[in-house]
Amino acid sequence: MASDKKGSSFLLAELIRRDFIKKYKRTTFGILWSALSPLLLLLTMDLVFGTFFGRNMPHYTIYLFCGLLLFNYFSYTTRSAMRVLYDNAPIYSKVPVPKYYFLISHSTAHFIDFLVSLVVFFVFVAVDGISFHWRFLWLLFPIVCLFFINYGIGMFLSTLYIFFRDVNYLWPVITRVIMYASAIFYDVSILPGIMRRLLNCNPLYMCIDYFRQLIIHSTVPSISFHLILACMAAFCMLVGGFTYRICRDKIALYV
Amino acid sequence: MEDNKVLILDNVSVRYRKSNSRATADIVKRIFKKSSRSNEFWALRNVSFSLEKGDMLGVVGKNGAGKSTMMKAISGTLSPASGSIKKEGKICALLELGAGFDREMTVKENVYLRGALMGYSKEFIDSKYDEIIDFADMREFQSNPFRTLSSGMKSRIAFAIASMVEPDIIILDEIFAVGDGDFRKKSQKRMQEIIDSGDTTALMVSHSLQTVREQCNKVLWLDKGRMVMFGDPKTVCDAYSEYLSSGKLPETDSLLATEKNPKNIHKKTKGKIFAEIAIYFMLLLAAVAGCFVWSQYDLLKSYVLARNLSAEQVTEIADNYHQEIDRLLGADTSRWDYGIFKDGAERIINEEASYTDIAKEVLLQAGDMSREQYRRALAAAEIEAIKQSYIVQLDSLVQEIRGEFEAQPEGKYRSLMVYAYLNCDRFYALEEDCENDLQEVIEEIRSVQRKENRPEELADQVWNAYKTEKTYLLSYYCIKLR
Repeated sequence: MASDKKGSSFLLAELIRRDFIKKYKRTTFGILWSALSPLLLLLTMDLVFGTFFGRNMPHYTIYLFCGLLLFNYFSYTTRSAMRVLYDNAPIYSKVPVPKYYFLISHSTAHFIDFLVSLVVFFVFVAVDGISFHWRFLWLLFPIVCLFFINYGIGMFLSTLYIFFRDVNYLWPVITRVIMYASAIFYDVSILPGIMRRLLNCNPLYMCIDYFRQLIIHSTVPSISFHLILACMAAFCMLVGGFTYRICRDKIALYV
Repeated sequence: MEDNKVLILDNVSVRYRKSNSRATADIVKRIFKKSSRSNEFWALRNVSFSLEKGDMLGVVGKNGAGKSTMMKAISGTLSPASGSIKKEGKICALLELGAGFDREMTVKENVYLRGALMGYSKEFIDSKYDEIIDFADMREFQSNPFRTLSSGMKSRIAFAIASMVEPDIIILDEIFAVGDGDFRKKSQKRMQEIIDSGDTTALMVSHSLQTVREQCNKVLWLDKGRMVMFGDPKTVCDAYSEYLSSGKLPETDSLLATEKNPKNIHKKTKGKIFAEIAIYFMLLLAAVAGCFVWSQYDLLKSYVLARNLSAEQVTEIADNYHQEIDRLLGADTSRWDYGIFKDGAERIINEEASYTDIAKEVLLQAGDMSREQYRRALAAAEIEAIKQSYIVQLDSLVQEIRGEFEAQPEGKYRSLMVYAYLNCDRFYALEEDCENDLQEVIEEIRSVQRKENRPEELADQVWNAYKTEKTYLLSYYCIKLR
């Protein structure tokens, strides 16, 4: 029914507001958790791994933070996106409204959350003595790509969850694999050549690497790096959209 | 759309699955049973009717007759497995009031959210907000979280929101069973207002034949998803109440026309879905192909560039080999393994690998350097390989050419000269330390020429070429070897 453009953008705004408010509703610290949780994780991991890997690497804390920040964004978003279509079933089975609106609003709410963490990240970057540069604007690219990657995967998982509850147990395992394949706390150069090559198949690692190259080494990756990342994001979107499109009409019968 | 018809249902069927179980045991059982049909359940079968503007339809039938399913299909939250639903105008569906609100959010937030879900604009809700709250009589609760409300209150607020507009089609699914007497009266009055106000078409589910007789001008009787009767209230209600007392269904035409298993999805939609799937699939393929091409782009491009290197570029790269790479790769040297050049060169000499293989390896090692960096690195790798290969091949080449000179009969001097010339260009790639060897060969050419009493032009040519054009030939050598 939300056919007119104005009405649907208002609906999206309301849904995003709801998702964002809901996340930290009835917590004492509220939105501060967006900043606190990565910080606490960073502290722990820096203490544990800093002694192993940090010795011969400059800016190890930032290196670690890049990985943690993006990985947390990825894992939290995809894990909670899984339940979006299921949880909102009472709404869309009563009011005819496009189901993907819930997915968009969910992704966007988490994205805003991520931006809050990003501010904390830049505070750390400044504290670590890395000077800011206009080149940092390039970071928008991996951020946007990651948003679409998360959205695509979220759409895929959420649809799958309706028909196949097992993803609830399967996805955390896959997420863990992705975590180890993202070189969050270790240095890539300890890996043999073939493993390093495989890491580049992981879009999350590519985003993390983009951050590191730009912030620590202050170099903008090559055009092909950009294109591969964009293709990966498009691929995630296609897989998600494809799955959603096929199952769209059946969802209401299964929830 | 035909004249005055606002809603046309044509052979609509809705199918559920009896069991949604995906447990391994159940799946295995289902495979062995080989009856996918047995798992299906038709909640609605071949229902067809149409309504005109201003009609008020009452839907009767026992529990589980498919009344709510039909309403959901009409409102658009369920899509039928076959048949079509044509509708005109804004639909307002009041299905299971009170469901679908967010427990944690306040009443006010929920009003806005629900309003947005129903397609209202922000301005509209702003202007109607007070009216909604007053109608539901909830002013003092408006900032309470929704979970603290009683179920009656939830229904009230839901009804208040839904009834704020004047829709073209309104769907009422047993909503008057909730709320206290006061509110029920109020909401019925409001409903009546909407219906009386003019062109609204209403669909109402009710178990009270009394209400149906009083309010509706058309009645639909459903039984187990089948349409038993559709017509004026008196006929249908009389037949229905007779059925209720006797328990025997009348054999009506529409009931007889119902198929046991309605045909699956109509062809047109199926084709459409396939077309869409095909498009998605092609896009997917294109994305994969695009990924592949771009991942190989550096390699392809540098390959072309390396072929077209000018003499100056090759010299420059050769001279500045290590410094150049160090400088260019800068902070990224950690990613580099110089060993690959050496190994690569050895493998090329032993014919274990081609230049393409080595180039690929260099690319993969490099990961993500720029095209320029890659091009230079690749050229450097080649030059390294050429240097290495020269040292090994030199001896055998010298021997080979000497042998040719000695073995050839004198009459074939001219062809020998050509042979030498062609072979000699390999020597021009030599570095300083090989010059002596070259001079030796040239002396030999001279002596042959002297013996033949011919001008010593070939030897001069070779020597001059070596002196002036060695860099050009160096790159020529690269290309030839490749």
